[in-house]
Amino acid sequence: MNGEINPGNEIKIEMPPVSVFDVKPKQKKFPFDTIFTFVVRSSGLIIFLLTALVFVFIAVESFKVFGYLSPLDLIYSDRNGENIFEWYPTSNDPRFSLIPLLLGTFLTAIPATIISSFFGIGIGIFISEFAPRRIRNYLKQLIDLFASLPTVAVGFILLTVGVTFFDSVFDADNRLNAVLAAFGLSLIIIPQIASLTEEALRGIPDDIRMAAFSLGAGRWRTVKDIVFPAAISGISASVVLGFGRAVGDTMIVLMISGNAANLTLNPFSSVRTMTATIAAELGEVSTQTAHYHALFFIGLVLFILSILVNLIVKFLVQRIGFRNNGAGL
Amino acid sequence: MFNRFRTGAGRFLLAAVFFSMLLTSGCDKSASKVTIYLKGSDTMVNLCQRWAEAYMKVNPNVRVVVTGGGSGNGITALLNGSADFACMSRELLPAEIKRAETRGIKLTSVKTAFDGITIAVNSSNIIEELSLNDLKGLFTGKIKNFRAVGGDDLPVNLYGRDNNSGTYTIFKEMILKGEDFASATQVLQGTAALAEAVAGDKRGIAYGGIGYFIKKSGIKIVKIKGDADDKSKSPVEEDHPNYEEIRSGQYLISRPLLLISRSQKKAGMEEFINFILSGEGQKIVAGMNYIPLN
Amino acid sequence: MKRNKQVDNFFIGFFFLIFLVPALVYILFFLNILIEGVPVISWQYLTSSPSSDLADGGIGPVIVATLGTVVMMLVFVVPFGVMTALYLSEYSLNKKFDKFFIFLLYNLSGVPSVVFGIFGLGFFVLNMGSSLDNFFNTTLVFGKPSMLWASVTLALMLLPMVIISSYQSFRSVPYNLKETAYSLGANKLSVVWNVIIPQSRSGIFTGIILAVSRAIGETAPLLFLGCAFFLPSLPLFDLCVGGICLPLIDPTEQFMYLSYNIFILSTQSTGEVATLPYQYAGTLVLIFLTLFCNGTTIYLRQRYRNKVEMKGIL
Repeated sequence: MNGEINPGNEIKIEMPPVSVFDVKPKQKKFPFDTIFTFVVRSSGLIIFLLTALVFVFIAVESFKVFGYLSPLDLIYSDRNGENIFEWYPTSNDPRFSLIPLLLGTFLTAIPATIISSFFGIGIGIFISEFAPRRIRNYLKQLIDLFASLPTVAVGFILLTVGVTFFDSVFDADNRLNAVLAAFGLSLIIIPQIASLTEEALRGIPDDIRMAAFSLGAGRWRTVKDIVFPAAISGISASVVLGFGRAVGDTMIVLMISGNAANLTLNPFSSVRTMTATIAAELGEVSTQTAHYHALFFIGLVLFILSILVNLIVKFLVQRIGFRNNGAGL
Repeated sequence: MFNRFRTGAGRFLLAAVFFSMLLTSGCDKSASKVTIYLKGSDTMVNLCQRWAEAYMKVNPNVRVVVTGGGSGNGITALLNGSADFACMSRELLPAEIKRAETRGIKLTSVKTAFDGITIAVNSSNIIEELSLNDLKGLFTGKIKNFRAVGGDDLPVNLYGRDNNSGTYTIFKEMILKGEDFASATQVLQGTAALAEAVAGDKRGIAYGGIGYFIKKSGIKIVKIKGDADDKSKSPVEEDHPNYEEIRSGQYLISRPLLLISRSQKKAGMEEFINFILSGEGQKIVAGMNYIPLN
Repeated sequence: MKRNKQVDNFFIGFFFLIFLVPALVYILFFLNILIEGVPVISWQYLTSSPSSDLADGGIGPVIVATLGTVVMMLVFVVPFGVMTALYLSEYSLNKKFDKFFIFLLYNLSGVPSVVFGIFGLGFFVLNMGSSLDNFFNTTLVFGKPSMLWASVTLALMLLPMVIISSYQSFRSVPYNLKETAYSLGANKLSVVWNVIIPQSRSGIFTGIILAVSRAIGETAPLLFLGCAFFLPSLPLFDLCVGGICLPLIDPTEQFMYLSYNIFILSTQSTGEVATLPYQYAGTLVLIFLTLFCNGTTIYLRQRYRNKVEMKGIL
């Protein structure tokens, strides 16, 4: 107010007309909700970028190997007209054939998958169908517990005790060999397959079993002809997952497969797997060399294998859903 | 529900705080100022660790960190700065010297001890001595049976180290003259594992630092000679290494164990070297079954 | 009918045998570790520093550094894992994008751990670390293998597991609970904070503890990420605020890891006979830690399952 206050004069205060229906504007609240939405979305985006980066980075780094070698060099090396399949990355005449490493991986992973499918599926069937009802749950939990056994512990025990025992049983040419590694791998894969098999079998409704019993089928026939076929896709998914784990494991094969890059199909000889090669050689290589990028390429191969495993499992699991719906159960 | 979660979260936070206090309180409070990093040869890793331990007892405000992984790892770490000393069980390769030059790094190396590379077979093997040529034939895979080198009719199982091991490199240079190891060589992750494997495998033969084999039961240390008609020399004498012959090079496959560092040393490194070369440091060398400098 | 019974009994016996063989192997496995390892375990072993060729002394710093790495991993995994799961279940923007994201996560969770090791070395240490060093103008603080990069790599490896586990439990929160909350005028944040997260606590915790168990047992990715053969004590630095100094574990240093320690001892120690009991004891501690964590998740899942079943009945 500019004017002076004159005594006697009324002070004029201009006020807007106020109505009872006017509501005071609400005090603006701090926008927690908006901020939180933003934080959550951006963290989702960051993690998405990071996961995508893993794929992209490994692919890019491994394709750089072709700056040093031709794609054929990763399969065989041509020396004086002879095709040599050898992995000698640090030799004076370096050779980078991945074939012995692939063979080594499959020579450990396939026997491991066979052993653990046999025992794993058997244990799964036993727990879900034959074991006394009271202890079923406890057995299942025990198996789940074993699935997390640290691989380095398995490798250590096999190295100190298992090797000598196996040597006296098989008397193989190589004390440390693919079968021994496969056995070690089975120790961690059996619980996994058993647990998933049990879950697949448990998913089959009891009505089906009851119907089979009432038609006069015994327990074994019910399992063999009804329950097992119904759960087959879940069980095969568990076997494929087991194979994936066998391919991806590092410590057991590094410690007890012998790591000789043999070009062999004999599972009783010592072999070198892809994972063990990365583990043994990555620490030392200098960057920007063919060897460094070749190791990344091995990583990419492992990556692709694991994605294949995942896709197969996804396919199998989707079939379960389809069949269960289709059967109207 | 809100309250229940809040107390839950609160409990979790409390537990986290408590845990981090536990993490920090257990440690000795004398956070030291100087840290020296040693990285490199697996042959030397036990030796370096003993030195580190003894040195830190005398000199409590220095921390010495020892990592293995092979000589190749050591020099790589030294060049990119993540180690102060590279423990090398071999001389530098020309490629490595070049790498140092291109980065403008000057290196100095100190001999700290000697080691005889020992060839070991299972104790049931009748082989007593091998010539350098025999060794080359065996480890390149040309000789596949012990009969050819004067042993029983037994197929050979080769055991060796990763290609980042100094022993691998030096053996390849001294014995194989640059040729490659047989692809059937079983590669184990440490010399101790080699000794263990040979002790359990009657067909096995392995090479490695003398300290890993000398006290191991179940294996036999083979004598080495230059040519078929030379007199063979053993790297061991009773129960300790044959100091004279290894130091003088009469035992044909011996090597110095080196500590390599940048020429510009940081504080504390000179003293550590002096400690290693002192009587006390050399006593540790002898205690680990390596060969002291004198 | 009688034949049926006989056949049944035969096959029950057969499957019991299949069950028994691996069971015996596991029993022998654990007996071996227990018999050799238990006599070594003592308070002193669990707390004191390793010494002289790691053949006596203890594994105190090893355990603390292992747990420290795991805690640091959790600092990355828990907030990012839970928030990404929240994004996928509550705040999603595009269904197609989400589908692709979940596909990526599923695939990542199956990738062998050693592949994360090469990613960790190639990306975190050699790329990101040296860029950070350039940025801060430091010499090799970040650009070397260290506890920080080890825990970040472990975090990346285990994130898919935590995200998927939390996501599934967020999705299984009954829709009517959310509806009720919204109808009472709650905004999204308070629905998430007061309804969704408390309802799916056990799923989140299961994922996290499983991640801890995996992290403790994992060795392969850590081989190139800064595990040391021998460290006498923990790498410490003083965090000083005002006049008060608090010693903390320095995450840019090398460290000892329990599983790596077992690996290195069983392949590289000279005194094979002298260190063997200590290797067994270390293995025992490692197995105890992983099985304990895993047992907790099984217990949680069981309790959760019971709760769900109860709800179904009511």
